[in-house]
Amino acid sequence: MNLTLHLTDNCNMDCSYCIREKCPKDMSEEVLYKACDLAFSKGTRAGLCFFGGEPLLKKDLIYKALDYCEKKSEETGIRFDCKMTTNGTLLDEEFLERAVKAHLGIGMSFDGKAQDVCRVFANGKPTSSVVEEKAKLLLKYMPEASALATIAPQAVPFYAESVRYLHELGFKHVSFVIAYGHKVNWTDSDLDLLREQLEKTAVYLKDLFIKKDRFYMSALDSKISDCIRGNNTAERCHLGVRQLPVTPSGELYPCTSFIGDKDYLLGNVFNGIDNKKVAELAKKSSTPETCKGCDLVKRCTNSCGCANRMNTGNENQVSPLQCTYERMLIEISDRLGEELYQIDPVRFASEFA
Amino acid sequence: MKISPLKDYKKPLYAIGIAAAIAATALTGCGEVEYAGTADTKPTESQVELSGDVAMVPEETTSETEKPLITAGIVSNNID
Repeated sequence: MNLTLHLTDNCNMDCSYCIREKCPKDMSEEVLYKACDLAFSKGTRAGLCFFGGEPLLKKDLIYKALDYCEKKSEETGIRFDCKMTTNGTLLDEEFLERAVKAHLGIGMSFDGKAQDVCRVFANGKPTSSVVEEKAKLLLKYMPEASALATIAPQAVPFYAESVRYLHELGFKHVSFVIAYGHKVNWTDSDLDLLREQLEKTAVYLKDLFIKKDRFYMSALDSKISDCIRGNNTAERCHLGVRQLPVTPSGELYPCTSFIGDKDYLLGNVFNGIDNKKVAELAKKSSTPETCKGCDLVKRCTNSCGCANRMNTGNENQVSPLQCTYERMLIEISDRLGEELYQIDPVRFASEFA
Repeated sequence: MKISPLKDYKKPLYAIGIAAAIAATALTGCGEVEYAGTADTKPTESQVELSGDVAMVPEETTSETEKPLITAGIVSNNID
């Protein structure tokens, strides 16, 4: 099974939209190894994502987890996969060499040209120049690494420029999401501007497609792929089943935004998962009432309990922001998909289908 | 901004066209040739997902416990 390990609640940055409460709490080795054992205990694969706070503040734990899990994988024959989300500021060559050896997939949180708008060091200093250098270092070792951008309202004017910038820096995979939660305040004019920026981004992606420059931009590309494959984006999230966060103290929760809410505690690494609570959670999960009559119900992420909870406090309820944004994405990606299909249907099919 | 259920949505032509092409390919047996006499399969990508403010990527769906490892964090769920 897959787990997200919150190696620490500490961070060397202070991003304006981050909903995680920072504190100097680290995972112990005991909890770490128990979490690794739990990952290997179910299914035919074991997966860990290192997270935090900032996981690279605990490189020692990452090395220990990798050593332990690689050995366990050899002993059991169970495949081990690992990833990490990091702000990138603490990356170094020694770590990257180990990461390459472990096939550790790395996603660097990097808001592109909007980096200094929201993502600053804990002392308030800007991070863009450091992160840009670290991004180049990362791409030198891992050309397939991903950049993960979170766009808050104040960063919207930089959206399209950021996509271009990250592409020109060398990233082949970028994930762009908008910031949700109580730390951000979206207005209608923010969303109008976001639409313009998404449309500019679509023009850029079309241009890259014509040039045969393979570049994956999640926000739009995933909508196109899902539409072709008939994937139900809304079914991706299975709270309490898919990938459980493990807190530094070893507690298990359905997803990040539920951490600390004891009503949603699903167990711990010492005693395992409380399957009864998981079943209760699954029983409670339902398509939001407002979405049931919508033709796009299978195209949007209305069943992401985590995003719903961040926006409305209820994992089964979406907000006007989510609905407006999802409809915007679907509309723009549909148009982009049509254009790309007309340009080169064979290549379009091979890249998106 | 508001919650506006959409009616009369038409699936884009590209999706219909490619879905039809995929179905036709499956029927004519023109899918990828597999090595006969061996259980060897193509290596698949890691199914661990990155956590964080990340959009989800399209992936092969398998059993519940075999879903891709997600990039951890505040998932807004677009993809990756």
